Amino acid sequence: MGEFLVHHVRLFDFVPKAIHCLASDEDTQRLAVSRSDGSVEIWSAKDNWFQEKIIPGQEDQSVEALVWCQQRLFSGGLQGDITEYDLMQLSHKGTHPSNAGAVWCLVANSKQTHIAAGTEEGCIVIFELTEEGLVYDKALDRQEGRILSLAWHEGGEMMVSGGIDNIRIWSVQSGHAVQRLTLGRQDRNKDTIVWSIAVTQDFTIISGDSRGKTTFWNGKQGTALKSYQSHKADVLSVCASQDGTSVFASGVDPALAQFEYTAAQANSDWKMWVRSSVRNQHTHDVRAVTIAGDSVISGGVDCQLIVNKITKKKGNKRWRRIPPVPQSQQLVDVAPDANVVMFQYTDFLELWKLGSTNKTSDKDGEILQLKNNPVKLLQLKSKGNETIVTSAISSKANFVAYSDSDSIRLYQVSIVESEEITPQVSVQRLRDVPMSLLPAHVLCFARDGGLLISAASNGTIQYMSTDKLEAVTIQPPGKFAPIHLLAVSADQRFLATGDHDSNVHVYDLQKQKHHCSLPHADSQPTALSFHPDTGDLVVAYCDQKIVEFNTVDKEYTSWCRQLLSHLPSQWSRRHSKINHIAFNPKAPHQILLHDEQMLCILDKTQPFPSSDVNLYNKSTLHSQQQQKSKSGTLEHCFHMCTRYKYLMHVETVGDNYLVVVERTPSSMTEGLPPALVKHKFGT
Amino acid sequence: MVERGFFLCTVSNAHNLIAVTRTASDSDNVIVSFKNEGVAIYKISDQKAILTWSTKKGQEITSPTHYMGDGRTLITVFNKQYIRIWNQEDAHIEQGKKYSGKGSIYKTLCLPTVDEPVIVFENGAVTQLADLKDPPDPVLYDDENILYCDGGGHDGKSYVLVLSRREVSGKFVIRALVHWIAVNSGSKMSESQLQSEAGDLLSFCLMDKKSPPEFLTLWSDGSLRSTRLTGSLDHTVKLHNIPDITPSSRMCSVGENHVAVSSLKAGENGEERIGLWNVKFGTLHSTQTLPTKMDEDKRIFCAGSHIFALCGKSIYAFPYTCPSSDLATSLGKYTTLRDLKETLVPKGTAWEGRNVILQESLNQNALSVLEQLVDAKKTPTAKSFTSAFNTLTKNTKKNQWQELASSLQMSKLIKRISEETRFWPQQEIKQLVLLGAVPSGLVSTLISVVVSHEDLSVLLDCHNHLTDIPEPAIVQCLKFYLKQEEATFSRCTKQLQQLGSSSLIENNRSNLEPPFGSEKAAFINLILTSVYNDVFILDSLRAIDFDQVLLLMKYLFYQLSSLSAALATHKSGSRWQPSLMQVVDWLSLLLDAHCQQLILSPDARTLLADLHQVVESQVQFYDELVSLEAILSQLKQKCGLPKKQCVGLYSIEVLHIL
Repeated sequence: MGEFLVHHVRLFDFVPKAIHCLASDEDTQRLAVSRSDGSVEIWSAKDNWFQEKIIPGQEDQSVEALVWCQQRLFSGGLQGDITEYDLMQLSHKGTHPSNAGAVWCLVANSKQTHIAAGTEEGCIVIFELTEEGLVYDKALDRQEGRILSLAWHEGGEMMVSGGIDNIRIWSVQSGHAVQRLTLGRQDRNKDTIVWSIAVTQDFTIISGDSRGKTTFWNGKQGTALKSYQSHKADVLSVCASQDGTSVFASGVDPALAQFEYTAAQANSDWKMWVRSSVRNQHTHDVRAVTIAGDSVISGGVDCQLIVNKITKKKGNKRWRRIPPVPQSQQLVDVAPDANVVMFQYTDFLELWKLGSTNKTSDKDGEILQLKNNPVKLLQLKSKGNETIVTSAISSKANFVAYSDSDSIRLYQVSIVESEEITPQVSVQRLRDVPMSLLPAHVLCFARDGGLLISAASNGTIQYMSTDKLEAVTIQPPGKFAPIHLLAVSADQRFLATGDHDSNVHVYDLQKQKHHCSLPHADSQPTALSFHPDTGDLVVAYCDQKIVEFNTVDKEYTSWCRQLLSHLPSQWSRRHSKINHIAFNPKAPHQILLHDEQMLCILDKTQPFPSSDVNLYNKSTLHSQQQQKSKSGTLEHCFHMCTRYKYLMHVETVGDNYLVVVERTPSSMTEGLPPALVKHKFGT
Repeated sequence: MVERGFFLCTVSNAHNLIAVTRTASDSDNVIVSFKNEGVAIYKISDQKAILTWSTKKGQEITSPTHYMGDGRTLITVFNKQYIRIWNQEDAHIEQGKKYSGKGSIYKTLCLPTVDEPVIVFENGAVTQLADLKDPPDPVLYDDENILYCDGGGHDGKSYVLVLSRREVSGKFVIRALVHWIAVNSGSKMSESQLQSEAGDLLSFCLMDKKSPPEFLTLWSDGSLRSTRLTGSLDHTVKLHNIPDITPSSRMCSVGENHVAVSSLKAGENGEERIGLWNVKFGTLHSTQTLPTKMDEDKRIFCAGSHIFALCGKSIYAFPYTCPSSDLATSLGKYTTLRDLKETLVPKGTAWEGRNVILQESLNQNALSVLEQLVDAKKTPTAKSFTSAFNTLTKNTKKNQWQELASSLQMSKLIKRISEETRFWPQQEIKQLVLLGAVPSGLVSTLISVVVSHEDLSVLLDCHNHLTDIPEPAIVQCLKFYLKQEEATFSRCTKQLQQLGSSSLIENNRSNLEPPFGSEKAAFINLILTSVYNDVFILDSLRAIDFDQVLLLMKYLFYQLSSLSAALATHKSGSRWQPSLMQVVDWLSLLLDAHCQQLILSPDARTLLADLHQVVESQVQFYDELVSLEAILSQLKQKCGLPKKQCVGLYSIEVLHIL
């Protein structure tokens, strides 16, 4: 049905970062994930794990601990202070020094009024949370050795800290250590480091240490209840469930061990901690484990989040692996008129010219002989090695713009095709970008590069024509929410935005004001795009709904209404979110959608499938059909292609060509550090 | 396997030796008892006597000395009158106890279940030592002599076997008596009479280790019969015919399934042999020549792992190893052909459906005719021979010829034909060849006879129908063909054409002249395409005359040049055209066989030079093929199974989305 020649591009060396810390916020159902470069991602649990925001890290800042307090996110690092994040502007809001060296751990009390930080010098510093930020409250007694883990008992009175060779129980009121629990040493010379502490409501302390042991202590008496050699190497993270009956532990040995507080015999009152299940889902060290709702989430050096459901419901998918491909950020941009692809790395941009071929073929999967190879045109480094937040390239590749956390920079690029092999590239920065243009969260060029539109960090829309360089600001209606999606119609008349409040607004650029809004959906939009011919806006949501909106009539199209009622259940059950929507200029009735594992063509002219149809087996059914020569009863509008994994970007260029930028899972795991050696049978 | 013997001890007089008995438990010692010289215990490995006792003058030992059950006391009989039992530590026999009894004692025996030694009297009575003074009644007749006596144990009981002989009206009657001695009950006796139609009884031995025990008797016609000792003794079974028996052969039992037979028919040099005969399969396992001739007394004894024989004035010990008596070791040891007259083994059965069809044995008529054919006196003329042969063919079915081929009669027939000078039974030989009735061992004699008669048509049939002609016969034919003139071969043109030989000239692709005419070439081709073994034929080829060698080489050279490369397969189907491989093989054989001569002789020079040229051009050709082969194998690899294409960093592909 769809016959394309595909530019199969694997030139993008996207390397995901290891996960360092996890913190979950029960109220907003959000998860904060910190990565090894100091960036923090916010994931929305209620949208089936949608990666909402990415707060870029700074070079000299490290994140060792994360904590949510009153829906505000705080992090502490080796630089010795506690940073609060502005979730609207996606930047640092303020920092507070700990005055006690590097901050190793942060914990908030159950009332969410105070935050305690465990520090390098052995001090527990307690801050009070106010409107302006954190205010220093007090510091508990200094202990020898650093404090590596903290846990605050639910009552708020007692705190447990884990250090080197010891666990101490503190009284917050007096500031003194009430109890000291000593751990044994495995080797005489090797300290036992208590990497992680958790405490339950009945004051059972659970510690994970560098010997690989998970120990349960009676916090009231100060005695050890039970110790399990749960792992073959250090246990880096333990977490306890809300009701205190389940504990999860994991570490350098990537098995996730679960312990439960159950009665050993049925109908007995005597309960004890027993080891229940072990899940071997990670391949490398697991740095953080946390419980969010009814799931336990773990992440580590293999850069993937794995979500396990704790409840023992049979049948449902019990766990899910979330691939490390960014969802809300577009790292790849294509200039279709110039056959140029732009890759956004952490601190530089790369422009590549696609190759070409003379041959054609009818055979599916055949690789055609190249006439020209792809050429790297340009590598554009960011100023001061700042993290590039977003970037865009115009459709004719004459303008390139990127934004870091300070400003937007705009470049004019000219590519001259020459008789020699490499085309000549020249770049010139347009310095007269107005100061009123704020740093952007999303950048986008209107057709031909005439307009640069940005979703500014304060939530407004700003746009500027590239020749006149004058900025215009449009205020969104209602409450400001961080915008993560931006699209411009082909006639440059309309602009659509999608934000984290699940709003999709359409603005009229000529009138410079808000035009209309789509009906509020239950989940956030993940991709939106204007049809080049009809001007309809197609939006894809987190709950896998696809919507087509007529901007002129300000209503859903009739096809869209039919589609919404005929979405097959297999489609709705999908976990991966649609990252991008593209259109085929040769076939205006086709919509190309893709997530990181699948490419789908929706054909508006074809009938809708029944609800229980299998979307993925069309090729096998097709070959069977040919044998039976029945009429096409299985033709429906969903055409899936699962040939590529992971898809970073799919775009149509030229005449029946597709650009598919792929990053295979094996290439992503190639650069990972070695994992703990596990001796397998026979080796 | 009987190995070379070594000297054990000297005997002053052959008659002096009573016996060589084994000591208990297969030890290295044997007891040698002499009539006048006393008793000696010899250690075989040292070949020395370790203990000796002498007898006084006038005292003669009359029974083999042996140990009692305890292994330390010895017992023997003096002068048939009294028994002495002494310890082996005693220096003199007189130091032992003396028991005397009534009646003359023949032998003492030591039986497994009986504590005291058992005494056998010359009148056949068997008693124990306790009852020595009170012997039981005589068993044998007055004129009956004991030939043999031995005992053993079976099934918790002991037995004594006595073989006796008496002359009744001019013939010898041999009786076997067995006394069974049980612990609680007394002795029981059973007897039987052995048949004596097989001539004289030569020797006997008791196969004690068999269960139930048997005793074997060797008769002068070479037959070996066995009689079981349980139940009635009438059940005598003829086992085998031992060939090469002389009237003085003796045997003794060796192991469970073997007997050693002495004085087999002399070998080529006239030496005497003893043989190891497998009783179970009836095969002569091995023979060993004696160092010197045995005297009249050909007795041999077996003790431990040695066989003792008295050769001249010395006793020689022959170490032997008894092979396991199974089919594998007996393979190939049959030396006799089956006599068709005897039907020892039932004919093979064939199963068809649910009925058993017995193959018919040869018609009696056919057998008698065969007898006639064999006997030169009965069919002296060609006519009578032919008519007898025709009756034979009429009476014999097709599937019986093969069986006939392996029989004694057929080998006699072939021998007779080869020796027949009065007429030449050409048609009969042809028929025999065509029917496949020629025994394999006699193929070479047949062919040499045919060659001597220069009968080409028979030779043609031989080549085409006889499989596996031995190499000397092949070379004999080759020599004959090479020697003959062309004209002789033209006699067979018609026959050749019938058999499908194609003319040589048609196959000639080169410009060379063939050295022979096509008929001769056809015969030579038959030789070239026959099956042979390199090593054996080389020996025979060395015997060919040099000019014949040159002639053959010329022909091979002609073949090499004229054969196209397409025929260079390993085997061409036809017998009329040798393949390139076969031609080359024969060339190399000839060169190997007559290397020196070819180098030295001037006649061969041109031939060798031409041959070298042809071979050189062929080698060049094949060298080209080698490089071609490399390219072709590469292409084959490329066109092989489609491999999964590895996609690099960038590629343009075709995508069809269904």
